[in-house]
Amino acid sequence: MPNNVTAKPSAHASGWLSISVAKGQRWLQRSGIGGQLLCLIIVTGLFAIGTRGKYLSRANLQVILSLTAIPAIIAIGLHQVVVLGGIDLSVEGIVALCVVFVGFLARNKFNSNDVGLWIIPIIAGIGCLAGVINGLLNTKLKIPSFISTLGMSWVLWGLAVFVSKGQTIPLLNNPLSGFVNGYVLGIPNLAVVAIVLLAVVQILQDRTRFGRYVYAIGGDEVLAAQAGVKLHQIKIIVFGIAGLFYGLSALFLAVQLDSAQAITGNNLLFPAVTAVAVGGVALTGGIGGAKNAALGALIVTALNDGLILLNVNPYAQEAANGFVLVVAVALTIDRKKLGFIK
Amino acid sequence: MWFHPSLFLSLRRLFLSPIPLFTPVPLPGKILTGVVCVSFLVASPHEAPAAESSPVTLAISIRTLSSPYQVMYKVGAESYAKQVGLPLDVLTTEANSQKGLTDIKSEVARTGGNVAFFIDPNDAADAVPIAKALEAAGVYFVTWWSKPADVKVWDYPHWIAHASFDGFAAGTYTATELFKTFKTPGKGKIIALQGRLGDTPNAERWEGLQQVLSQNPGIQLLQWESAKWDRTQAYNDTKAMLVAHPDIDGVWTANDDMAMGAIQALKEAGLAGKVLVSGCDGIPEMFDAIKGGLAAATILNDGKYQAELGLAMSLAAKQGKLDVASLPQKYRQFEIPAVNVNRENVNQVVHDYLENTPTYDLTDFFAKWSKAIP
Amino acid sequence: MGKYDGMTAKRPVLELRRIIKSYPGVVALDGVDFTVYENEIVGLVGENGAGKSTLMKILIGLIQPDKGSYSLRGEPVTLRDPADAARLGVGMVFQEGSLVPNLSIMENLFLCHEIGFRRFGFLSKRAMRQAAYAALAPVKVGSDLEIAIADTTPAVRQMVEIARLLWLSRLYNHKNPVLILDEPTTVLTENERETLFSILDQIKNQASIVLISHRLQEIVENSDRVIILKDGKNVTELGAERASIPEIEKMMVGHSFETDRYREDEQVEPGNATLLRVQKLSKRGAFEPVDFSVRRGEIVSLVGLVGSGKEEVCRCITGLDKPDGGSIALGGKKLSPGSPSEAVRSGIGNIPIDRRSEGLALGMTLAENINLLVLDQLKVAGFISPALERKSAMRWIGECRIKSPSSSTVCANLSGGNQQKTVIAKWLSSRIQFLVLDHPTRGVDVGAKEEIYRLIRKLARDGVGMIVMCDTLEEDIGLCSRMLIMKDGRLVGEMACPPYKKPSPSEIIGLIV
Repeated sequence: MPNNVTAKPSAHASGWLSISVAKGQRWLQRSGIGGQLLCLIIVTGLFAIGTRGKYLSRANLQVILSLTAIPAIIAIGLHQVVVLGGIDLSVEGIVALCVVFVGFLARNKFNSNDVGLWIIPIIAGIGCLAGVINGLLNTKLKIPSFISTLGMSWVLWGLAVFVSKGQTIPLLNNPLSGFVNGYVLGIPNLAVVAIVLLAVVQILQDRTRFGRYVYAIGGDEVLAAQAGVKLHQIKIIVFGIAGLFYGLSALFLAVQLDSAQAITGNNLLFPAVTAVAVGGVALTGGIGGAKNAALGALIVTALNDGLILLNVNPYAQEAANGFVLVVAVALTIDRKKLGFIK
Repeated sequence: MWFHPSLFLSLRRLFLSPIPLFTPVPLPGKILTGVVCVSFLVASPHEAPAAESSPVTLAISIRTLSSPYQVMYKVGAESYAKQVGLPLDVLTTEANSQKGLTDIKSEVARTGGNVAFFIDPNDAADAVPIAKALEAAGVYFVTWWSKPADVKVWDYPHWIAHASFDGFAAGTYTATELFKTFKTPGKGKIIALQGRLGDTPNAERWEGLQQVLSQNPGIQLLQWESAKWDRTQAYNDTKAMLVAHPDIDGVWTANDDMAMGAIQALKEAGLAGKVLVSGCDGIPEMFDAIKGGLAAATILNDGKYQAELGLAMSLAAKQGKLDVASLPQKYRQFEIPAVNVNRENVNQVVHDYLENTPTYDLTDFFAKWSKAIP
Repeated sequence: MGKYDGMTAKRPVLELRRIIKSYPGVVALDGVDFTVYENEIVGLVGENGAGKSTLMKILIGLIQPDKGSYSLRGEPVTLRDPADAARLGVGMVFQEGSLVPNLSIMENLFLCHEIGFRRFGFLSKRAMRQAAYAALAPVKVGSDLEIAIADTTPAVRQMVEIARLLWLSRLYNHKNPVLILDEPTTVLTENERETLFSILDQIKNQASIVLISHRLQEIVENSDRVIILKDGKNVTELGAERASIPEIEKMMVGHSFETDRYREDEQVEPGNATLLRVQKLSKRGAFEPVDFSVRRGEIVSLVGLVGSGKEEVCRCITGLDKPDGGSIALGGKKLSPGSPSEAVRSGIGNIPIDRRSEGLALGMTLAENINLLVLDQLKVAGFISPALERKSAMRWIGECRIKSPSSSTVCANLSGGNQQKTVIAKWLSSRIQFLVLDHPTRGVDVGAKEEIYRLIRKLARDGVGMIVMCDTLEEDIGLCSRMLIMKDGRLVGEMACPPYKKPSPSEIIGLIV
């Protein structure tokens, strides 16, 4: 294999089509989503047959896309922390806090605030700030991300409950309502937002130095530092971006439900982690990109939607989710890195 | 370790007396304290003479302050505490049974047993260790909602009563009201959302729905999902179910939060106002929804009343005004009805219960007694 | 190869003068001078503990000297860290490699220096690919650039690291970078080694190379100059044509070796009792049925090229692999195949080629590793007695002359030679009957090698039967009393190696290839 000089591969092979096909094949192999796409096709096929085609109806596909959007956004935010080699368990806490802020700042029933569309940068900013704090705890105070993000989740969630006094804050005439619940060319707007965010992050990962450094840290933190990667800076930014994404999700959730509750964020963490693992992002770090996270979210939502359409016993649905998570992790982690499994 | 101050004092005096009660062995401090504690445990618990100089503390143990319904407990308790001029402590379990039990024990220790409790146990099984702990400490308490069916209140002299809202009645009422909204009376299709499948109120309400369904053979339950009392989950599940069953007449849910989520999904499908929902709990938004024609009915579990009643009973027992031992069994385990709310009386209910806190007549504890829990 | 003839007009690139570096209790470098000239290959040799690693760390900026000067191209410099050093044109290729495993060859090549490839804020893959091909040309790596480093061979990884260093120095406009290679050939095959040195010879035209190796043969063959360190001081500097291996060894260790380095006079004639008997042992795809036996106290050498099947035979004997047919019997008793624990229990020990991951528990202390197999005997009233543990450990540390600050030193902190001695001590203490030694002196310095040979002879005297596979044919011939030759999965020959009448390597090579 090594030690033989080969010329640069010729770009003028037999025709444009065959090059594209070959390139596509190599991309598929390399991008690491081949398995997931196959899984999606199989799942879709099974459900399509099982529901006699109703699964593939326009209404259902729209529902799947619309229900995937928010978990996908969260998964895209979360997976970058996982690529670094850490884990971010603060999703529910950050969402809780941001939702409560939406309740107080957007036009609502309890006070006369109305920040209009400024709510978007404000909430993004709050989420980002919370994420940055996560990053600082992890880098400057050297607290393992598992603990620091878990602690943050409880702190922020408690804060959200305290500030909102446990009340539900109904929203009134939110300017984003139309957007959040609307469609463009038949695709739910939120799904489009998710796709745009997916593209942005994917480009960041493939085409910028920053993205490269995130993978380096995930691959071997010590060696990356030796090569000159600024560990602390990168980690804090990654956590910050994750927090920002959670904030956006919180905003969309609140507008979707037209109400803000501290408990709105509950039960968001497990599907997000499942999505990240199912999509092929290794929990040991260094492997997997935004497309993996989004695809994972799509698979999980498609699975659950199918189970509902088939009227599968709700007890069994929970078990199915847990099973999928265990299998996904088993297939994707790099056991060499872990040494002994604890 | 918790022990009543005067009992400890008397035991201590025994140790210091010149007449050795057992061979004086030089013991290090820790063992001494241990012996004292052990001997206290072995001694039969009894009330010290009621020479109370300090005021009784009122205490409630509830699930959380993040649920509007649970917050009602706190509001009612505060109102009652203000009425009787006593301090109030609010403990929350945050879905952690261990924390619930520990907090209760700490509260007893902190007040030296001079406390009266209203408790909504996190889990039915928690009622037993709580009862045992409070019994041993000689503290009176009233529990609500969850206890194991085979555990009996009358086996514990300090467990005054266990009460619950009639979940079954709630289920039947809301189902009946919902079915009244159908275009063709007695005929239609519904989907349903249950709460967390292990919770007693959920099971009772579901039973209620099932009974009404069996009485109305023309009405079909097409599908149900468990949305775990969560609004977002209810929204997601309803959206998915609407794809499978786009042509329904109503959505029955086990609580108002889930009903609100279902309404949002119906709004998006353009069905809000044509397909109504029902819930339970009586949160303000639900009342608005009923007024707005989006919901058919709910029931108001008057959390304020629950807390006030519970505290009033505990306080009365503590002050010797209520003789627990003489209460008949049916008054030790009972249910009271909730306030039924539908489109006709919603404004009245809002006025009476939400905009104002009714002044409850707590002289007769069993005024609202509807039936015994066997 | 590489003639250096005293004072020519070559300019010094890197000069260290009178470097002093001490640690608590020990002076690592005591006034060392070190100069690297343009376009040359310098060999740096010395025993473990002679100060080589300290000197290297100072060279690349990992540590600072207490006293002394460091100048690059005539200018005094202070290096803050290895990244600093790389920017100034001094770089090192470590033994373990410093490439991030999950990134591709191309990504590793330019890590943290991709600024030049930015187009409109994004990295241009095309530009990077072009630059990568150019950078990899001198080291002759032509493989797919997108492969993750973890999926390449150690040889490729080394080449990529060398290419990166060269590229970096070009990026920062340094004319003659200094590349330090730390034991580069340990992980290479014969072919790859040759390729490496031919490449180094070419790179010499644009860089200087410091070669650190225990393999004196390589040093002598490939360096222009050889610098020898001993006890933290320069001993001497030899031009290549004046350097001979015995000469160098003498300077490294301070005493000359007896010509009898393998202690042939200690080689005893083994008794007649057959200890290990291998009958019709075969494994599909690895080797065909082989038959041989080893007597008590006999050292048998198993030689052959890579692929001859000798490693697989040993793996079957130690239970790491399951053979497809045949039997192994120790002392008459048949062994159940495929179970290492069974093998150990029956009395077969294994000194693996990779002691770091297979021979030692690096995280445990010296004493713990030595006593690992005999814990049962160190119990008092059912519990392991610390006193007995220590006694046992001290005894074997003394016997094997393991140099270590204390018996509770963690093994990861010992030198290669001492680690190997620890592995041997572990087996010695457990009184095994049979030992398989896979490259027992790999990565071990000259002084420690001596002692390991002594231990091997002792084992033989105690009646332990052994199969050895050594680094060099000379070592195999010198140690064994009998040699088994394998080729293409078959046992093709057997040769007696009695003391003082040993065959020469050339006689054997003809049979191997």
